This record gives sequence, C-alpha cells and structure tokens, in this order.
Amino acid sequence: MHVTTIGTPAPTVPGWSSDGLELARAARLLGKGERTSWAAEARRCGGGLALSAIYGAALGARHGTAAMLLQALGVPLGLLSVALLAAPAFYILLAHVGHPIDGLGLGGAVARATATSGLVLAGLAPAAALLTMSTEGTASAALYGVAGLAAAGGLGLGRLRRELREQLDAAQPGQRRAGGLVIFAFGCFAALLAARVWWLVVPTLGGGQ
Amino acid sequence: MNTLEQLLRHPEQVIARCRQGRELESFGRAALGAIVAGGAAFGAAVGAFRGGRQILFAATKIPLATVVTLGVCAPALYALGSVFGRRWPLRTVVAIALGAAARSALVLLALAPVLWLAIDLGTPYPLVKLLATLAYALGGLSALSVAVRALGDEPGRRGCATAFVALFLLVGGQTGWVLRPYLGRPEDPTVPFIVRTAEDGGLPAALWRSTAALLGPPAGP
Repeated sequence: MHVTTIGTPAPTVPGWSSDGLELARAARLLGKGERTSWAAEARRCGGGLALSAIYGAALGARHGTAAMLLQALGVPLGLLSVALLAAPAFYILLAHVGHPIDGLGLGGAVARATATSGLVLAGLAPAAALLTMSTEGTASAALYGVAGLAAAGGLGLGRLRRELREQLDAAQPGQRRAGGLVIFAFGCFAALLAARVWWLVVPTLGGGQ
Repeated sequence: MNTLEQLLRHPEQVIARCRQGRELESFGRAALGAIVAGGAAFGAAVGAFRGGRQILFAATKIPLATVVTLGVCAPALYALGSVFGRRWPLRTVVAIALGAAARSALVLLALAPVLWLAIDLGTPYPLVKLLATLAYALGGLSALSVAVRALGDEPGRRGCATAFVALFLLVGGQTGWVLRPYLGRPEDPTVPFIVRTAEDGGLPAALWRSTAALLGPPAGP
C-alpha cells in the first residue's frame, strides 16, 4: 500500500499532464523526417490511428455509447485505408516517374502524415463533441464532423506532400513535374478514398444508413 | 508592473514568461480573474438592456462561455501548434490562451461602461446588438494580437493563426449560441436563463438565416 505523508510530494503520474513526457510524445509521434524502421513507423501510424479514434468517439457521442464505439473504429479506418490501399499504389507510381524515395522512406512519410492527422483529430475531439451535441439537426452535425476530418486530413496530406516535394528538389525539371503530378493525384485519390470509407462507416456523416 | 498591466502594455514579455514556463500558476490565476471580472462586467452591461435578473444571467454566462471555449479549444490548440512546428508543452499553450482571453476580457471591461451608457440613453435593440458585437470583435482582435505574437516568426505562422481563429470563432460562437440569450428580445415577456428551441444549425445557420432575411425580397403588403 502506498502512503503519502504530509510534506512529501505526491508521486507524479506520467501522462498527458506531465509536460516533458507529453511534449516528447508529440515530438516523437510527429517525427522530423528521420529514417527509422518498419516497426517504428508502424507504431507511429498506430499512435496516429489511436488518436483519431478519440475524434470518432466524440462524433458518436451524439447517438450514444454504441455509436461512439462504432465511430471510434470508423474514423481510424478511413486513415488506415489510405495507408494500406493507396500508399502502395502511390509508391509504384513514384518509382515509375523516378522519385528517389524508397519503400521505407514512403512508409515513414505516410506514418508521419497519419500521425499528424491523428493528433489534430484528437485535439479537435472536444470541439467536435460540443458542436455536434449542441446542434439539433443531423445535417449540421455532419457538416461539423466533415470539417474536422477535412482539416485533419488536409494537414496530414500537406505534410506528406511537403516531405516528398523536398526530395524532388535535386531532380531534373521533367522528373519534378511528373513527381508533382503523381503527388497531386495521390492527394486527390487519398481524399476520395478516405471520404468514401468515412461515408460508409461513420453514421454521423449521413452515410451507411 | 503587475501581470495584467504587463499583459496590456508588453504582451511579448508575458508570452516569453509563458514559453519559459515561469510562474504560470500565478499568471493563470490572474488571467482567469480578469476573464471572470471582465466578462461579468460586460455581461452585466448587456443584461442591463432588460434589467432585473437578466443582469445576473448575462454576467454569469459571458465568462462561462469564455472559459468553456478555452477548455474545449486547448487540446486542439496544442495539436495544431505541434503540427505547425510549435511544439510547446500543454501548460504553455493553456497559459498563452488564457493570456489572450484575459486581454480580450480587459477590453470588454473597458467597453462595458460605454455599452451601459448607450443602453441607458435608450439605444434600440438592433443597435445594442451591433454595439455588443463590435465590442466583442475589438476584444477578439486584442486577443488575436497576443496569439499572433506568441506564434513567432517561424514558418507556418499564417496557417497556424488562421486555424486558431477559425477554431475559436466556431467553438466560441457555438458556445455563445448554446448559452443565449444575453440581451433578450424586447417582445419576449420573460427571458429564460438558456433558450431551448429546435432551431437547427447553431450560430452559422442563424447567421445564414438572418443574412437571407436581410437580402431576401421584402414581404408583401
């Protein structure tokens, strides 16, 4: 049994309230474009997906516990579908136009983008809960939900685009153009794919009903 | 120079203190006190339009709306700041947000007597609404200047500031909408603490409906 005596500082619990740890976690999750390993990138991606689940639960709070659980799975599923379905196709196209990135490099960039989206979604979760629960109409609640997903998805894609464009700086002009086109096409495809998945599995958005 | 005077005259010193994590508890207490006092005074002035218990209701709801908005936005500010390269501890983010809100509340405190006088002189309801909105906008601009300075000159400043403003407008607007009314329409016989209606869409939809009504064709004879 642990006894805290008067005058003795209570033991600190590592977590969100512990500044150093919290900061280190955010920094580690977002990374700086460093090269790690597949396992490390998978953990980073998992961290981003877990964070995005908080947003899903917040959206579902309007409809009760079952919807919270369902949407806590649905929101990460949209991000996961991009990472698993779109990223491999993206790699093939990037390799085709001579982009210098390798598989692990792209995997890392996608994981960092997922972590970025996940962190933003987790941050927006309280706001999403307030906005969707205090709005009477389903269309307005859906609009708020979509706005958060679009903002977080856009920031994640923006980060991915920035990282990949930086690697094209030293390439030939033709390669830069082709690479830029592939990156743009991937962005459009990823946005459509995620939107489709969210429409199907996140009832607050109006789909899947 | 005390903390609140420093916040008004030299916000950059307060920002530096927040970023260094120095004496954040005492700063937080002072900022929260300013938010409550400034919001309550402004709310009391707004409530003076109807008088009676509406003074107390509005004086309670305006600081409450500010504190709830800050609480709801803090995690998002932390996340957005991290994504835009401002990897500050949550304590720093909360302290800067409190500082910005306190500066805005001090502006509202200064404008409360002006609004009260306007009401006392018999200013009509639509104009009082407009004056209160203008006062809030001035307070918001004062808070924004703190937030923009805190973001520094590093890349991503514009995007981060835009995200912060959009978030505050949306969440603050909705919180304010949920806690309405503040003035109370003159034609209503009584004014409740919080209106419970089935109006859809919150503040954005209400603004849209008002705009449509203003721009729409005039009603027939």
